[in-house]
Amino acid sequence: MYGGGFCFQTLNNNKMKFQYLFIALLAGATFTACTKENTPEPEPQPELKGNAEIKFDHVWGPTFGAWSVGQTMRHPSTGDTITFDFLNYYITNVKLTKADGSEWVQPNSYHLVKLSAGALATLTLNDIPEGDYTSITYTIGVDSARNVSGAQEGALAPSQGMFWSWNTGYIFVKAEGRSPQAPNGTFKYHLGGFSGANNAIRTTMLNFGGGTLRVRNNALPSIHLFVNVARFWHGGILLSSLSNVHMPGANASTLATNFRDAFTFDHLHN
Amino acid sequence: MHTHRTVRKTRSLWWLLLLFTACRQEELPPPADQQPLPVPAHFPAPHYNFASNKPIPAGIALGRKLFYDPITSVDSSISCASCHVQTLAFAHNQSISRGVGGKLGVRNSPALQNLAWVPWFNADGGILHLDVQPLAPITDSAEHNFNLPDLFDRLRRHPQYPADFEAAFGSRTVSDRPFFLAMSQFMTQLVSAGSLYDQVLTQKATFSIDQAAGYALFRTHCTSCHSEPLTSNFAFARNGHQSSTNDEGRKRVTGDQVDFGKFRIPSLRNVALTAPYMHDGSLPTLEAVIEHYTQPDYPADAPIGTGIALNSQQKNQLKAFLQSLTDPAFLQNERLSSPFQP
Repeated sequence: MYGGGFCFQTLNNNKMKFQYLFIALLAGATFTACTKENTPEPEPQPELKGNAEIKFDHVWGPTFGAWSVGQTMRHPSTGDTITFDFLNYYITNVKLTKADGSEWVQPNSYHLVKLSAGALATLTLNDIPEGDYTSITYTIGVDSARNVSGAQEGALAPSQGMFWSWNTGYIFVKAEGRSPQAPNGTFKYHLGGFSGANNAIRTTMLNFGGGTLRVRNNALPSIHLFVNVARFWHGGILLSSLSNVHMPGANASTLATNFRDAFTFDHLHN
Repeated sequence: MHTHRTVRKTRSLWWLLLLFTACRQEELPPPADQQPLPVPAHFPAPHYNFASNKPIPAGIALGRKLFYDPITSVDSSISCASCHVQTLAFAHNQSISRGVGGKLGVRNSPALQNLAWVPWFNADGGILHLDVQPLAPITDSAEHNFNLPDLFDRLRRHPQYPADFEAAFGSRTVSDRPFFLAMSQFMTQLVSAGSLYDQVLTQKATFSIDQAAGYALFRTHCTSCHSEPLTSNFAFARNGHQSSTNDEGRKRVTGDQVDFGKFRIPSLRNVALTAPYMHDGSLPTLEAVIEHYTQPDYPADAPIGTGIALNSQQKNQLKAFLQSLTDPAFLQNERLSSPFQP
């Protein structure tokens, strides 16, 4: 039964919601039990679902120049020479919104983008109700509750190497590479922090520029985003003065904001 | 409009209703695999959420094996028990213990006991959940110097561990959650609540005259930090001990200068066995520790300040009380000892 399936999903992904739903169901059951007449429920319309992809096209600088892991680049504003070894980051709490404002919120929405070669990363969103969506909202980082809830599985498993062992919390963004301007020739930006002034959780909404993502049962549309990785050093950040970030704090917050602003909408592919 | 409170009340009512309905049905015996929670009656409610990880015998057995098995270190030379020795209340007799390859760590190995009541771990409080605590020693280059993916591969290829995971969690899959939950199921069994002090608290025994005098001194001078009955409030404080290891203490995890030199207040249970003392293991005896608190290296946080005034008789009385915190049954409990043949 469709309704049952929905309950189960909610149970898995949101305890609070489940409790309320449970109360509602219980109330409903009691009500039904007390009522003599049996009004037949309307047959639920089976809602078709489809999948969609987010394609992250990592580029260099405001002109969206070609870039890839391992490629040595010159920063367009600071002039620093920068080569990435890898770039990992969490994309979580994905939400798609239609023109009428109605939303699809992905349940249990935790994705880890791992880029260790090339420039393109793809993330698949499953079981989206069919419809025409006009914007996407997502978070770079992991919500505070999951940071302090013990060992998780999947994208959030500590074995992914994105969890600080000595200072509990997720590394939301892990960027490492080399630069001759850095004091020891390398840079390591491990960005995280889920509370107070050190909160490095960043949420963004990107409009599809008037276009619509057409989610259909038999199609696989994609959302293409540019990720300008040179943006880390926005605001004149020099590798000579900032090459290592290993804990939450002001530097992590600044870099997290810069990285949030690295993402722009490119185009849809329906 | 429903306020939060109303909603909560309504919800409680529904639960009550459910409970009532359930009570009217036949009463079922508890499942055969049910393990009583390791919560002594004279302790407060535990911090650890047992509802999310209820210990069962197979889970405890798996955690116990993992605790004592050097398979958790890169060269299979070091287990958790290498630096957490049961007869020493799961502490170690070294100032700073050595890990794989003889590499020296950074802090004194702490006693492991009553961990379900501890809200944060490590001397700087950087670890916020018991389940993820083992990640620190396993991955630290001066301890097990290993990583989880390789450790899990090793366990998957082991002739026995996949079956142990299946017995405990219903699946042979070796992954983060079952691994860490099993570790916690064992670690929460490390309950020390059988010392003479506990027997006095539960009115099953009485202190000697010296112990009683020492207990009175303890309550006057120590319990604002070493609060009863856990003998710690788990806050962070400067105790006036000059670090021999240039350890910045809690500042390491907060980055805040006000936390420089603060360390988590330790439990004093079984303290007579956990020498050497302090975060750097630089004080060799209980006498040296008591002496320190009469004359700290630098002014400590209140109430110690520039020192507690104690005469030599009072020092002996305090020591006698601290020795009453030793729990022989805990140190010899066979359920907590190595499951491997020596």
